[in-house]
Amino acid sequence: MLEVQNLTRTFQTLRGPVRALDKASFAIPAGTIAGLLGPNGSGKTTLMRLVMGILPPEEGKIFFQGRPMNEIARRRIGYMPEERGLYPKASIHEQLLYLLRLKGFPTQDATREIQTWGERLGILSYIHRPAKTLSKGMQQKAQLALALAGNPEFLLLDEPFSGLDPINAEEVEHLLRSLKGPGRVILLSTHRLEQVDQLCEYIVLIHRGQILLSGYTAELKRRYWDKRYYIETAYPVQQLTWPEGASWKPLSPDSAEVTLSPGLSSQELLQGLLQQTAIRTFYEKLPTVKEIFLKVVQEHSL
Amino acid sequence: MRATWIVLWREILIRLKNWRFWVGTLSFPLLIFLVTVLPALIARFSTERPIQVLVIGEMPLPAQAESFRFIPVPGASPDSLKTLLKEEEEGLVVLVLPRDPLEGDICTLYTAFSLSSEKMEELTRILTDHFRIYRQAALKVTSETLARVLTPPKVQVYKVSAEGTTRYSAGLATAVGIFIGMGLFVLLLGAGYQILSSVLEEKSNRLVEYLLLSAAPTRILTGKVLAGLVLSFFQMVIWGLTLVMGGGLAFSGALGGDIQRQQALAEAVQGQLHTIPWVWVAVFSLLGLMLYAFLYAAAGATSDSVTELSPLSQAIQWPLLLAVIVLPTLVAMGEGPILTVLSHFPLTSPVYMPARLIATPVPAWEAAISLGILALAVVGTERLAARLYKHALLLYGQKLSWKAIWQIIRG
Repeated sequence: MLEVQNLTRTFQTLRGPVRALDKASFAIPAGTIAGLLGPNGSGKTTLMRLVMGILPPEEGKIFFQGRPMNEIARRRIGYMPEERGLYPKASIHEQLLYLLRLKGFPTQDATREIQTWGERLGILSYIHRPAKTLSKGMQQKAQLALALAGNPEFLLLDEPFSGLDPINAEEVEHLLRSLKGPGRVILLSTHRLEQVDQLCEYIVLIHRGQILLSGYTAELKRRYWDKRYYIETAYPVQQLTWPEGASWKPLSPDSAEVTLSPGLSSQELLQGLLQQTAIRTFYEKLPTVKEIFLKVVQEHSL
Repeated sequence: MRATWIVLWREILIRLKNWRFWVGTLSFPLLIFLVTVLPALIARFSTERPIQVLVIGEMPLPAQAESFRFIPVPGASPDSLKTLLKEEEEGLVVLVLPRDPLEGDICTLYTAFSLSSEKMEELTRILTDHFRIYRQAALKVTSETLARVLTPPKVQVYKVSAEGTTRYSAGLATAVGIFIGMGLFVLLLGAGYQILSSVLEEKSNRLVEYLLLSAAPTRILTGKVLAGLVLSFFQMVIWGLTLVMGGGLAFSGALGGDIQRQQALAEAVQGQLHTIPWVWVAVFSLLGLMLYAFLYAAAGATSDSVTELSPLSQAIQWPLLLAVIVLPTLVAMGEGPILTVLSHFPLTSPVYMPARLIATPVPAWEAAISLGILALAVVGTERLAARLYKHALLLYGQKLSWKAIWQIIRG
């Protein structure tokens, strides 16, 4: 489990002190892929840098598997920074070897890790080419190999999908799913909320340096569910008489999205409609992560 | 230390693989080779015939010396021999020696072709040596007497103060001070640029974040600084060896085959060298180098392009250059408050304290205090550079204003 307690950090800027993170607390259970969401400048990168120990916190504590983060060996942590890059003139192999040795891997282990992850990520064919001759996607995969080397228990990926085409993004998503395992925490930040919906079982929403929301995606969806349903009927929806308290919008001639007022239950809705038409499909329509994100951010921006 | 070593080794390998480094390193030896060694080699392997010198005069000259063959024609008249010169295109000259080599100095040379300046120097040297040998024998002057006559007086300076009388040697002190200052300057020209460009590269390609995750900024920067210094030192050794070899060749050429003079000069140099406190010189030079190198690293962290580095690197070099420029004047003035302050100020002490140690007996505790201040300055600059490296690169990723730099320093 990754546990963050009251993490605070202020930066001195030319316009005065700016609180980038304000008493941020959350706990991500082991064995989950978590998404760190927030608008630009919300404090995501600062939070990641604090978690990684690149920046010291002003206040607060970070624990991983019950131990303070600063006691965790670097080799057990995999990190891919947002502002990533490579030495343009050096080959991918050369720089991966250098950076892994710097991280504490003996040369033999580093070479083995490069071979393993190079093969898994499909970068071996160009591993001896200088970085400047490769596409952004190819370079990103090389960076990902760097983060994954050593099979770390804690994987922190800042915007892992940015710059990737849909095929490569799908590949990376598939890879991340395959990396999920007991004891491992994968925390990623991304602007692609549809990917979070599919990939992340846990989300942490940050805005203006404060954690607005954190929890299992399924639980949050249930919490923010506004009694919305999807319904498909045998009779055109425009011609049906809808019970009072049901606001609906057509999605097609015979389907609609219905939101019920607190006083109206789904049974009452169904009873009313079944007198007029057969119902082919009916289910709860849970909010997407994007909808939750927009709703919560808007609420706190007011 | 492992991280420092890994960074150091990588930086060295990267530079050694770069052809520009080798062009920079080998262009100077090549120039020296072209200027000194090549002409000597050409002369050695050339099949040029010796110049035949018809000598009118009583003073004996060797039959063959260097590029000349001397043929005595004691009774001949210059006019009759001059006619021969018209028939010969090159390789024959007529030399008329003074009737009395004890009294006369004028030797007249008749030639139908132009003799090079090297040949003229060679001939003059041969004549000078043989005039000396002839006159010594004629006047019955022994070599020892002559050496005693020609030995110049040496002035030894003793400074009288309330503490007592101490020897003061400004000449050697100035020479060593300038040597250290210029040595540091040349080393930093190479190392400084390497450190700056390396820091800038990581800043521009944003690798710094990953590096900082893996190792402490002080370790990374120390690796970079040491690599820059090692490579710069390597270049200096190559250039120094080239200078010694080239200079030695040129010098032995100037002294000709005069073994006695060469030995005397070598003894004089050795006599001076043993008075230099080499350990102090080495320690001050090394710490001075590190101080300036870390200043370069700090400058690299605050800039965002190589073009912006020029004024900053010049600002860093100025204290060193000024120290070298005013050193002769200050050392000649003798011990005083300015010299004392400058020999304790970290940016100038690597030049001034060794100079003072040579010029006059400086108490060991004073040198130790100066060294301590310098060591503290190195550690402080290392921390400052690391702080700038970490914060400036991580938080801003752009050129920093002085105000922002001050805020980072303050933390």
